[in-house]
Amino acid sequence: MRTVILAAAALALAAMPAAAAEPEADEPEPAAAEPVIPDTDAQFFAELGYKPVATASDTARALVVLVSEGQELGGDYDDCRQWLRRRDILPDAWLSEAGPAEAATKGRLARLLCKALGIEGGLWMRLFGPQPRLALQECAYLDLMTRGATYRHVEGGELVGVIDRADRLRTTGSPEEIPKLEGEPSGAKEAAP
Amino acid sequence: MIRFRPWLLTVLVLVLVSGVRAAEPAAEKPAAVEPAAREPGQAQPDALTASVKEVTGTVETRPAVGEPWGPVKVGMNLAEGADLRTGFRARCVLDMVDSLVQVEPLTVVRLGELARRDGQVRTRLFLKHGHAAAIVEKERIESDFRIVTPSATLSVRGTKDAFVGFFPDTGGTYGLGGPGLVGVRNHVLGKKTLCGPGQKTNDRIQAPGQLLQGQFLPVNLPGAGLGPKESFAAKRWHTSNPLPGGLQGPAGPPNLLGKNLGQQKDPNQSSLLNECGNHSGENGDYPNGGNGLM
Repeated sequence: MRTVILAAAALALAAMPAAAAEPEADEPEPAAAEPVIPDTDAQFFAELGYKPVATASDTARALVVLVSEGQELGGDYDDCRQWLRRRDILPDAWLSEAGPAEAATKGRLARLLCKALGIEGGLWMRLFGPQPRLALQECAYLDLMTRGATYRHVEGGELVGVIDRADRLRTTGSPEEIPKLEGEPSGAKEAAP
Repeated sequence: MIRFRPWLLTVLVLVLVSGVRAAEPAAEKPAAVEPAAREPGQAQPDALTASVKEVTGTVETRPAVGEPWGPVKVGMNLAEGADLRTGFRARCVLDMVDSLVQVEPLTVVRLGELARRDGQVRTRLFLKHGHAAAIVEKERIESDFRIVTPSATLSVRGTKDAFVGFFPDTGGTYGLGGPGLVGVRNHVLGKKTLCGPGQKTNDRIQAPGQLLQGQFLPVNLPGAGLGPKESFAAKRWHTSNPLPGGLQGPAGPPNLLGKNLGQQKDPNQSSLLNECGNHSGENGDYPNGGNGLM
């Protein structure tokens, strides 16, 4: 009996230091990630492209960048909404009262886009204003947005694409216009006879 | 007769256990990865860099995933694996030895490959979203230039003004503005389309049903993206419309194993959700494992 107890004690003694020296102690624990507000427009739009859905906060900031033609990058959600109020884009039926994490839908985005870009639309939109369904039809007609249900949520990458096309349409007259590239690569000069 | 000694047994056990413990970490260490064996006659690729020729607006880069982002300046050299992102009305022109590439606004792109092997410059650009245009010199340089988007690959056969644009909602647009020829291989079908000067194509190959589903069904969301009124309104996920009468059984909405068009079980009936609270995790958001269409 004493032998068994001694053997068990020896096993416990041998296991204790080994358990204490597990390699987990060497690996530093990752620091807790804090929510970071993007500093630059490049960071904001790149991170937005990975989001499964664009929120009200994303929409407000993207609209500030679009309307100000890149001069304003927006701050937090309330600052962006204040800025949009001063440009008469707000109030509207959604963004002026929505929480920052509320999902954007195609109809809501189209309505805001029409107000932001001054899109007047056809007869019915001139009569009834930029209702979501009419605004989405108008944006689809201009190739700014894809057709779909007004209640469908907007993906992050979709919002980036909408902002890109809206600015191209405003500056070049076509949502897919790419400036012509001139010049030749350095390798061609080296390889030239 | 051999006399049994308890202390001897104890020492033996200690030695054995220590030996086993000492041997364990060595066994856990991953074996050193040896470079892949090259086939005879295959040359070592020479790593090339892309030099930045022009920058307009906010353009940022990072040398590899996990590294911090920093601003791009004219004259900077970007190595293989670098990521590039551009802001609003920001542009960047890269000289990639065999090609000039213009990265357009609101674009995220990675220099996937840039190396010279057997005299051929091999370039792969991975375009996450945005637009890019390229001039590829294939008359004087042996070049294998491709731009890869999530849905298709554009390969260049000696050309000027090849362009690519991709966004998740519209899909990809590929074309050629100047002389030459480009080929676009769709990743889903594997079908290749050739574009001559002035032509363009796209990668929309969805069946009509899928197209309608993509346009009219709400995106499959985590709960954090929804307002409190939207998340489980009318006992249905992501909609405030009530369930059609024909689908309401005596015990509540039926669970059709993911084919129920978004009718999920009430999270309050799930023991897991009661422990974690609503919308606290992936399982909590999708009791059916996320198989539903909504």
